[in-house]
Amino acid sequence: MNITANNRKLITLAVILAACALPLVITDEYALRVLNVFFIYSVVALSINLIVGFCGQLDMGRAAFMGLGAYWSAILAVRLHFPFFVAFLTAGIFAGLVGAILGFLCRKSSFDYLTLITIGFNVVCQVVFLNWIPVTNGAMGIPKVPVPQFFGFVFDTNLRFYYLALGFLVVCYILIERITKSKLGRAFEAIRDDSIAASYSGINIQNFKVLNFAIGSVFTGLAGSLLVHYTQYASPFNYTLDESVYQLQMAILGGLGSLPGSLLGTLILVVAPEISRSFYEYRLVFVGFMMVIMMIYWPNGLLGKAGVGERLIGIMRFRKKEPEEAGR
Amino acid sequence: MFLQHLINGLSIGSIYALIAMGYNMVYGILELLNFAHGDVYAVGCFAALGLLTMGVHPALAILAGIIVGFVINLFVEKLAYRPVRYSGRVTPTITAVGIAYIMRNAILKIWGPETFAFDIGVRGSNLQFGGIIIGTLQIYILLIAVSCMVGITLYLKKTKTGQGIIAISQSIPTAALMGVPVNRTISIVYGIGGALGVIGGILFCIYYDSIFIGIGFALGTIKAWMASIIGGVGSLKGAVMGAIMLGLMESMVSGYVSTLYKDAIVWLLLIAFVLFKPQGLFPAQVAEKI
Amino acid sequence: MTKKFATLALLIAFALFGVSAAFAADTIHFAVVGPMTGDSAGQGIQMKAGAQLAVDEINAKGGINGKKMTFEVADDMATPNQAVIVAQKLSLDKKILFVVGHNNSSCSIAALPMWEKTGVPVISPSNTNPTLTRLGHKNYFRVVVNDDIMVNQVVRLAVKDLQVKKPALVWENSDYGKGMKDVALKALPALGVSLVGEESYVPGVDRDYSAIVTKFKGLGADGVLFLGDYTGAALLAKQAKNLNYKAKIVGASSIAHPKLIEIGGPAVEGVVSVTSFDPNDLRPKQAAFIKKYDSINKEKPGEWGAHAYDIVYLVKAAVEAGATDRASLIQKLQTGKSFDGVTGNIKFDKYGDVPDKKAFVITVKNGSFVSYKVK
Repeated sequence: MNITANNRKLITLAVILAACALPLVITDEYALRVLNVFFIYSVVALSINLIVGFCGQLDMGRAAFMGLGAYWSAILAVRLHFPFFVAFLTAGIFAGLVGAILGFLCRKSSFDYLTLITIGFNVVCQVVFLNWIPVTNGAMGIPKVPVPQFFGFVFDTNLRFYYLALGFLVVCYILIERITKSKLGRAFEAIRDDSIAASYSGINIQNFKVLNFAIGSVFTGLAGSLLVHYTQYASPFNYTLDESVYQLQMAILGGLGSLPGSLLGTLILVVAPEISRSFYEYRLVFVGFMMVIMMIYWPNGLLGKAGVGERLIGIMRFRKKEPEEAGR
Repeated sequence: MFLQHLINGLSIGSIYALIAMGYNMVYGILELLNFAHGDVYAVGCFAALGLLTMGVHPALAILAGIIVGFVINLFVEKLAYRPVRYSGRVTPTITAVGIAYIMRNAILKIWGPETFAFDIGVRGSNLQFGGIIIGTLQIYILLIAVSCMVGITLYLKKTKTGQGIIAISQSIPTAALMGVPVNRTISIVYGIGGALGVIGGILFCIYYDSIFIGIGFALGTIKAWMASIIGGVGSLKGAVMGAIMLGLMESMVSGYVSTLYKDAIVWLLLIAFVLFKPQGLFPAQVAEKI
Repeated sequence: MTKKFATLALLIAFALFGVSAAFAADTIHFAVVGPMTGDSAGQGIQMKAGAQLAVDEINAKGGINGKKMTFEVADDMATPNQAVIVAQKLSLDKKILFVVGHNNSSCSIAALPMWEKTGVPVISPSNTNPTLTRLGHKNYFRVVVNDDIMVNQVVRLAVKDLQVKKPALVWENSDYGKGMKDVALKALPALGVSLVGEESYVPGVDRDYSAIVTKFKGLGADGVLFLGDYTGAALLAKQAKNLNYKAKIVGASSIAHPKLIEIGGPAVEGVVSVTSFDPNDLRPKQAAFIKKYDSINKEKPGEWGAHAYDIVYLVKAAVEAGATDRASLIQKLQTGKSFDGVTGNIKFDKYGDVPDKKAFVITVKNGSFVSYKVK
């Protein structure tokens, strides 16, 4: 959004403080639960944004990486009795490694093939989750996954988890924002915008693509792990292709390339089905329509360039920098 | 038993071939994963189902379904794809995903996810050769697939619109400069793609005597992609050969390895294809791309 | 700004929605939780229809002790994660006395810890996975015979009654199918026969059974134990007929649905199935129920509708026997005497199972289900 840097920092701080204070107002357990789920999925959306939005690699199988993180973490915690911290962090690393391998295998693939491979990978992962019974317990899943705990402090209530999830989101957001604003991020964007030109400016496209995939997958895996320690049950039916598309839409709705957008998109898609039963029933149609309409009218999402967010800001007359090119 | 598995594989392969042909028509021109291919033609198939249950004569119902598929694709192209045609790669792909979901959920809302009987009143008979059974239905399907392929190839080579399509597949601006009506031609391509898909879809339903929502994406679009990966992207011959090989692969893996891992094994084979032979087995020659 | 406003607005709307209602003392309220969308929606919808019929009948007669019954429906999409969220939401609603659900074993497994936190009695009309009642949840009951028992009946039927000597097995690749398969694999050797072939399919997706049929034909299997859904059974039967494969098909209760015949046509003539509810039962109580259900829903009830119906009446009996809240309802269910519903006698053992419930055997004859006389 086109606001000055200082204003932006103040707003961010205000939002974080408001979020911290929110549980004083909202004490309903169910509401807290939904917010916790929102926080976790936001990180997924941010990771999708990093991969799809900033680097232009259309990954339609993100849910598989959530599953990888979830199962790794569940197995470590339940079967091998590793402490949460270890299970959680190694889950992210595991997902990142798999992401690196997959990225490496398709580093030379064209745009379409990459998408196809990610879909295929999602399918294969689901099959493995469902059938590799000695490890994943197949369709019965892995129940009794322990809640997170650090040094004796157990996050066994929705309220405690709220602060854990919020902290997780804030940390991931800051990290991802740092990445997008760094040289790494600019390389990603260059690859997205014109990979041939990028290759001529000295970037090894393939290496960066793999790196992008790996980094994004670390975050997705961490989110998957945290979620499974919250629901306390790892099930193969949670990581379907439909799920992947739904998660993709969270990033698209808010705007690929806009990090606050990912939060908004996730908020809408996680909260709305809970509020409105009819929304819930029509959520997939909604997603479908949104995809078409957004791409035609607001290809940069609600909060991206020339999006709804910007237009509202223009109306409210904040100070604006010169409008940047709204192309892609 | 091997021969029987072979015949089973060829049958389903021919159906996949029709679906893949329809898909490749669009892909060959615009190089876009037409995500909505399956779901759009599924609408056509369900329209046929609706008419059948209302007592309309099967031949008319099927014809109506084909027309519905053709027309819907025309509309979808005009409303949803044309505005984003030149907007990069991510945007049009996502639009197609959106259309797919809209179509799929429209069908789900009206008919539901259940499987329905698809009865056109024709029962194929069986021919027996030794222990092998070949259904007359299977033979018809193979014939239809082959004639469609021949028909389309002739259409592309001999008619003006067909030549226009080939021109566009090579370079849209040049084709426009040569006087090819780009928008109209692209619409027709989508339309034909949809129609072919409906034919394939309906044959699928006739073959299995049943119809359900999965004939669109799960058993249509995805199979078309798989066929393209094996056979070669962008070439009609590649699509057909790839589809037939896919059918054979599925049949053989089910028959000789295990139905449990059939999907996973086929996907892994495909990933191997992508890594080691990304052009597919019958890639399009650049001059003759479609 | 926009983001902040939007966030706040939504969260405020949330808070308003999230306020729980006080316990309404003049109605007895419960929830039906199952898949209302997605592939298994047909089963969830039956649950809803069965419960609705029972509630309407009870209310027409004045309710329970003068109180009307009401219920709400929640969709768990047959997805465990969603089941947990639904459980969280509903278990905090003090109005809800009990739950008819879940439909899928994996959903129950995931959600039970949440339900147990607030002591909500959960009574399932269809969970059959044997482990469910051994997880230690005191608030869980189910009115169906579990797979251990049911699949044993299927196997015995095939081997002893239908004289199958070389059985082959087809199971659906889901928690349900796998559970059944494991039981069958143990039961067969006990009866002195060994399996000649075993294959699986993906329910809701796979259409092509010709490979399976060809394989079994080649192995000389004279009977197929079908442990899966009715769509799969119908398609298998059809393709077997096309390929001239003349084995007997015996199925678990999941195939005993009118759609088996609708999809399968003449190919399913002679298919035999164990079921916990016979949709053509001619006994007066059952026939009356079937007729009423059919006239309202334009479809005969299957297990899901019949069980949901029974559960509502079961709770009515418990409330009339003195249950007033969740805890006492659990207690009454555990200790109550046997209840005679349209699906048979319901009396829970200490685990929440109904081990003594009788099953029926039906077969397809001339295009509809009829009772099958077991020798």
